[in-house]
Amino acid sequence: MTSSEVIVQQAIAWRIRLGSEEVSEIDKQACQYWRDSDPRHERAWQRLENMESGFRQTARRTPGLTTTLNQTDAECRRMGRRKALRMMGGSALSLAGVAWLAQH
Amino acid sequence: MSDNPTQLAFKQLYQEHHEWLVRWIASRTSGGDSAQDLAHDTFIRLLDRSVMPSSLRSPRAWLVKVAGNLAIDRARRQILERNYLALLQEVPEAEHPSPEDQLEILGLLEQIDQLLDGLRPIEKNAFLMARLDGLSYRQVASELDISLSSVEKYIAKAMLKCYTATYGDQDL
Repeated sequence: MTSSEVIVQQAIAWRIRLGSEEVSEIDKQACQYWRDSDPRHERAWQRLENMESGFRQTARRTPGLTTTLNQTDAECRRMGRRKALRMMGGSALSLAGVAWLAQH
Repeated sequence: MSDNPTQLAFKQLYQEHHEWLVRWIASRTSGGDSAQDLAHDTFIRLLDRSVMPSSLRSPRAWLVKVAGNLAIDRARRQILERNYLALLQEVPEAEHPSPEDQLEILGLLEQIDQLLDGLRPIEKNAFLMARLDGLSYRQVASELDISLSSVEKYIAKAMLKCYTATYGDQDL
């Protein structure tokens, strides 16, 4: 594992620790100390933070996001190429079409 | 300016197999533009590769595999769109995002879906429930009927997957 990979794993472990209900003040301080001890630690932390805040923003705009993704997963799980090809050329109005129409 | 070997190989493959691929796809779909589109995308995908499938014994089998995978990706996006629209139906129309916003949100959903691709459903769920839906790890463990340590393990795996998909092996 490269040193970057190790640091990312550490950052993930810290984020998970801090997301726990049982997180203590000592945990929080230790995490901050870890972040402060190396600029790469902080960078890894920020990358993960940016990633997750992006997800959270989308979740705020999409109540039921988890359900939508789960349902899609379930429906696609057994889809092979045959069914996928048959699905092509469907006539449903796409959102792009709706957006275009809304502008014209 | 003459073509390099890769470009020559590509052109040869295109000449030998493009029409065949369009027909192959069209016979399995409702035909029309979508067959041309998919064949086109399949050949574009070829350009990404450093190894030309002409070096394989059966370029057509390879093309069919790539086209099939692309079709599956498209079908998945269609299903995701359908599910998102179904979700919207449950909200009063006055509260719907604008069509442009809907399109943007769908794009974001596709991105998240792709980032999580490859994880098992239970792993995805643990991550989404804990980090997006804001459930505690205990609640997630209870909902999914797994141990607390499994919850944390799955979240870690999902976070690493998303990180790697987003940042590749960029150094810190």
